[in-house]
Amino acid sequence: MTKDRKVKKNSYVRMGVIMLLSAIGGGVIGLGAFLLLGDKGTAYIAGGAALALTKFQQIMAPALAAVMLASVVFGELNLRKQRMLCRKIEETEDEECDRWEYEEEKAGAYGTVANILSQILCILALAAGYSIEYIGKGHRGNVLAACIIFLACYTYDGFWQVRFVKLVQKTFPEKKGDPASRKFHQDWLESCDEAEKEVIYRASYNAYSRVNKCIPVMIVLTMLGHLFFNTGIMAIMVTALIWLVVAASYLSSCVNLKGQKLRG
Amino acid sequence: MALLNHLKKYRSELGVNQTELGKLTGVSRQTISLIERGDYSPSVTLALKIAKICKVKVEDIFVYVEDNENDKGQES
Repeated sequence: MTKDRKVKKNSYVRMGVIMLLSAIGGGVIGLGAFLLLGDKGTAYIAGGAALALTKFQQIMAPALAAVMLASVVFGELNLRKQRMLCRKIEETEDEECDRWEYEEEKAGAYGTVANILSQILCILALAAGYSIEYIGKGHRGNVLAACIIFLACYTYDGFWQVRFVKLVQKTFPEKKGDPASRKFHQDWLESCDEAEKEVIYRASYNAYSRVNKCIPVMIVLTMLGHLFFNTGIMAIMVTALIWLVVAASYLSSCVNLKGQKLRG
Repeated sequence: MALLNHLKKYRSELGVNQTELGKLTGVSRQTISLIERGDYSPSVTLALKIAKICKVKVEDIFVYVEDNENDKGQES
């Protein structure tokens, strides 16, 4: 009992110390940034960023083409490797099969991450020139070319995901779900057995914990960006909204699941 | 707390591989492999199902061992 109370008291003290240290850290960083950058320094960095954006706008279409080429090459090599691993899985049994299934899981994870990275890079590249102001300055052709490559890359990435899911479903026919359907994740989860569900739940909780650690840092970064470089409050609002959606979704799911159990 | 098991032995006696036992119990081959390696403790339902298929009692396949009991066993 005494130990419990001590632990609780320590938690309050620890939280107080963390908040105090964060405030001091924030003050020191703010003062340091002001002394280091000052008004001229921030203007210099903002000018540099604007110049970098202009340069990037000029190579927007080639950058998108490079992303697409990398995505196609990696995607095809990855699928080829996965096909080979799936054949091994079908040909082997027991312990030997464990090894190939793990390799296939790893290859699938790499392929999926590369696929998402390709989509993110496409958005970032297109975002450089995705403004009425830029298009209005006589860059219609450049933006149009970038949009066409963007759509082509996105189409490839979308079809890659379908091919990946179909390949897994061919090797493991018990796995259900149409990758083009909005209910895909639900159907896929329902077709998993208890051990697979445990892995998915644990991985999801880890992802939730990491997002909860990352989002406050991102909010601070967007606020610093707005403070020093006048980047606007849109980024802060969107990040805050993502935080709220993540926390509310997790908590409402917990409450709903417990409610379902009570109701039987 | 550990759940030891003799699933591999009973599966061999039954003359089926992991894929076949998985089909009989309605789980994946990977899950059977995880259970055999002691990396996954099955639900009561699955444990009973496995025991029924192997035609033995659930305690014949799965053995609950306390932590210190387990440590002693490892030391000796």
